[in-house]
Amino acid sequence: MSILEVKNATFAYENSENIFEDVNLTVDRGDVICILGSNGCGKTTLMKCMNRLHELSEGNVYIKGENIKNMDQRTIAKNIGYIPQGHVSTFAFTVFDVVLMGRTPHLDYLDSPGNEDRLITEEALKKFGIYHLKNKPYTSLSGGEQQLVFFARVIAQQPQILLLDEPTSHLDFGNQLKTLNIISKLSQEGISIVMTSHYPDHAFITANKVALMKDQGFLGIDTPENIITTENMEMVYGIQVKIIEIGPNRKICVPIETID
Amino acid sequence: MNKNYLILIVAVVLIIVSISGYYITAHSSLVGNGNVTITDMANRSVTIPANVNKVLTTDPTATVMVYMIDPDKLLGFNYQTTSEEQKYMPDKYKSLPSVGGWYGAQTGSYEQFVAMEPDLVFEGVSPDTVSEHSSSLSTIAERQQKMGSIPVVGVLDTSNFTSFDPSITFMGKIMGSEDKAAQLVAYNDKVQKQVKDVVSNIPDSDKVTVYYAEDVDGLKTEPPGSVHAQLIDFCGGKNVADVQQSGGNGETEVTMEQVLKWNPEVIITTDPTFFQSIYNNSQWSGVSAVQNKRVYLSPQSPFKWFDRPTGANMIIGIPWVAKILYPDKFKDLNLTSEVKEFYSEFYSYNLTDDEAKNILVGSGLNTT
Amino acid sequence: MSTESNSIQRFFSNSEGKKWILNLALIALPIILFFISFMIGRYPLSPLEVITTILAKFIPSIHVSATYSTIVWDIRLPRIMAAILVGAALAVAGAAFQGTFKNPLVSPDILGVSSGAGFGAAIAILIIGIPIITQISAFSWGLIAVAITYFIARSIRNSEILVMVLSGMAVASFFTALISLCKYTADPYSKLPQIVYWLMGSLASVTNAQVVMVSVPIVVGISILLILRWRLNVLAMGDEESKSLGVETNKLRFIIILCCTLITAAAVSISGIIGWVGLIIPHISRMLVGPDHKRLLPATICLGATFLLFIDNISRTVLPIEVPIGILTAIIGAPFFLYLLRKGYNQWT
Repeated sequence: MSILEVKNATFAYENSENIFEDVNLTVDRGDVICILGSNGCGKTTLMKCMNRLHELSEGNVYIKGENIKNMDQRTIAKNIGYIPQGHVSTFAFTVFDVVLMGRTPHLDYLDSPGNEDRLITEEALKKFGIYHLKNKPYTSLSGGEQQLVFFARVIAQQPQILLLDEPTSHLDFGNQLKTLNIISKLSQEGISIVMTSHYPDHAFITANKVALMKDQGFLGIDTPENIITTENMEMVYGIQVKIIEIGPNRKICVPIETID
Repeated sequence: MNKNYLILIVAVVLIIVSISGYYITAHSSLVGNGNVTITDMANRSVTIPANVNKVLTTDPTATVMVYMIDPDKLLGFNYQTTSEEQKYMPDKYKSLPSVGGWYGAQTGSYEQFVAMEPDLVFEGVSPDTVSEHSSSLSTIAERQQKMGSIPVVGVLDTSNFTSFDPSITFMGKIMGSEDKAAQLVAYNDKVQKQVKDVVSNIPDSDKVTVYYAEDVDGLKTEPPGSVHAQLIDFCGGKNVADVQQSGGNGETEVTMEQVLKWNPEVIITTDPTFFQSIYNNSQWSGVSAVQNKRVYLSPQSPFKWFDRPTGANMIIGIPWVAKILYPDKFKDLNLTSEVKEFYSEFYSYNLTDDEAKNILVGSGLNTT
Repeated sequence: MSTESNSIQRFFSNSEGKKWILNLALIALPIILFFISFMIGRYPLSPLEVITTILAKFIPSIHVSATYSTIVWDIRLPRIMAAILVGAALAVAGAAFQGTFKNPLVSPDILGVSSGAGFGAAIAILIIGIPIITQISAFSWGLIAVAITYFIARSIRNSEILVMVLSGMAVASFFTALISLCKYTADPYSKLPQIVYWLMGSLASVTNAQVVMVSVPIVVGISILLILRWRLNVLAMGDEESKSLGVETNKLRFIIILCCTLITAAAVSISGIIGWVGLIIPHISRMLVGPDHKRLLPATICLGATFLLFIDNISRTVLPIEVPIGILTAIIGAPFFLYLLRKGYNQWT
């Protein structure tokens, strides 16, 4: 049984055209699925429908066979972790407190976190190498460090699926690769990951499936090697690219020229 | 979960403590301590000391009455008296402190009142409408609760000289100064009759038009029917101010155009600054009252004669306003001797002839 | 954007020992002030006389003058209790709202509770004028105003928090206009001054009965907020992240708004409109213990109670006449807030 399944998904905001129609996606254990698409094609919206931040107009999402429409937000959160694209901070919580928030789905309504929750939080911090930052206000960290905090929080949730919305967009060149390596490692531990990205290159690095999104749907879903072609990139992004193999199992995709 | 139970327990305990605390600290409403039980003018049964020697009130109009009936018993005023006001006060009253009160301003401090240890506190109760009456009853109940064992004695109406005789009599009786109170009542009735007999025959069209100028620019006033300008209405004048009564303590704003349109024959003011500047003020020179030099300033000490407070201090204002409006009709009225008598009987101050004349001349009157 | 962190907080939170000293100080402060408050006032009562008066209630053989009893039980006690309750209530409501609306500049009035309560008081004074009715009316209309704000905002589908804030502004303006209407039609000699003075805020005429009545909604409301204080942290991260962490944001926000409105309406119903407490005290608390609501809410309770009690003590001791407490909190609060702003601004990251 697949971990996450999206069937015939259609979504539109009120009184608007469909953002996407009849989208299907299957996520198996250990998958890293990268959704590529141009700005505004709806990939973030699609992702938010998967953990019910938005309600689909038509179609369904199933977690391990169960329809998320029958689940409350808490149950969904026990299964799916989400790191949004951007984060606006208002209060300077400590890193520890932020990661501790990841335990919320496992707490009853009137509960506060207990010792076990604190231990899990500490483990998560250590896993990402930020344990030494635990008492610092998270707002004083660099972009890369903050990203690690959110990873730690989402891991503390102990989910089976991660939804990552453009996880590398605001990171420097080095941190981008470090993040992608983390994603690969997590998938090896059995967590399934769905991410959106603006970089086909990153799909080559970490994804085992790529979905190309255009014109309110998927052009196709296949391995990165098969689906990231010059024709497809031209169709999705409207530019000419060159795809080069630089080693075994490693291709790169380089933008060359715009098409007028 | 443990901490949550703790919170709930503490919450329940607090509420229980609160309720039981209330019952512990509540006590049957004391209505005074002393050995004489009286019924005040709000129909409350109050116990007061047999000998009342120290008195406070919660508003200036009642304070004025106490000052006029038995000033030695007064512990303090409701506002700080100015040096101008203290001019014609005997020395011992000049230093009476201000304790605040509850009248327009709510400046009274309960601890301050209690600390001065009065034998009783007079509180005005409104007689006007049913809702006002019940509201002031609950106010007086609150006052009593805070004053504890100091009796709060309700007095009806201390502001309308046509109807406050019973209040004077009542307060006199409570303070053990019935004679002085009766004297004041008699004087009040006398001057009212004197004036009423003459002005009640004046037809509306013959009435002198009057504008009551308030504040330093003179551009605030009170409409007819206002308790602040009741002397105008009573003495047969016609209050020109065709305006709405204003909020707070009165004082409706008007414009110079309005005053020029009304063109009053007489202007009465209580503000010395305005009075001094008016004959030099070109804006006002077009007004009939200014042209005919019929602008008058209320004397100020120890209380104004015309308004603020609107209390028994206005009794002397009755003959004064009558003389201002209709000097011919009141030729026989000897203001100098009236003023001297009033001040010596009710303000404990013996004015010399010169002092009395000065007061009257200073108010704008040329003849007495 | 702007965040709050400063060296004071880091100093205290880095060491467990320092944390405990701070906690102790925060709890001790209101308790000590509570006892001191009985000893001060314009009526000269020595501490010994105060203690004797208190004991006389419980030990029948001790006699004390009726005046002393009045001062302690009828004049000072209700004021002290009211200051503690109102100060704590407004401060906690302010902190909770700041977290819920993700905005440290928010005060408990943001959804219109004060304007509604002011209108309730004004109309009651206008029509009836009996204190208990005024109190109930103020409480009820405070709740009604927020209910209007809330349901208008929720009727707009998928609306953000901003919509609720705007709705609150509109409702508050509306009720403020109604208050002015009441003032305009009120009898200028008796009703109008009563309304004006009620609005300015005062603890001078609070009775023990009123204290008991409001203590129920205030204690209940604060307790619920304390129980939920962990969830407030999550909510303060934003709606989207909270939902992704399994929080039913609409339900939680509703409960928080309900509790805060209950306690604010109850407080305002006996004290009139007192500003600045709900805005400043959460800031000061945050500077001392950080934004974690597990520590923040209890800290605001202690500091809010202390602050208002302190100001009320000044109000009734230093001056021979009553100055409305709403004026004093603004006169003292606003410059203090500017000082904090200056001090803290450079340390905002």
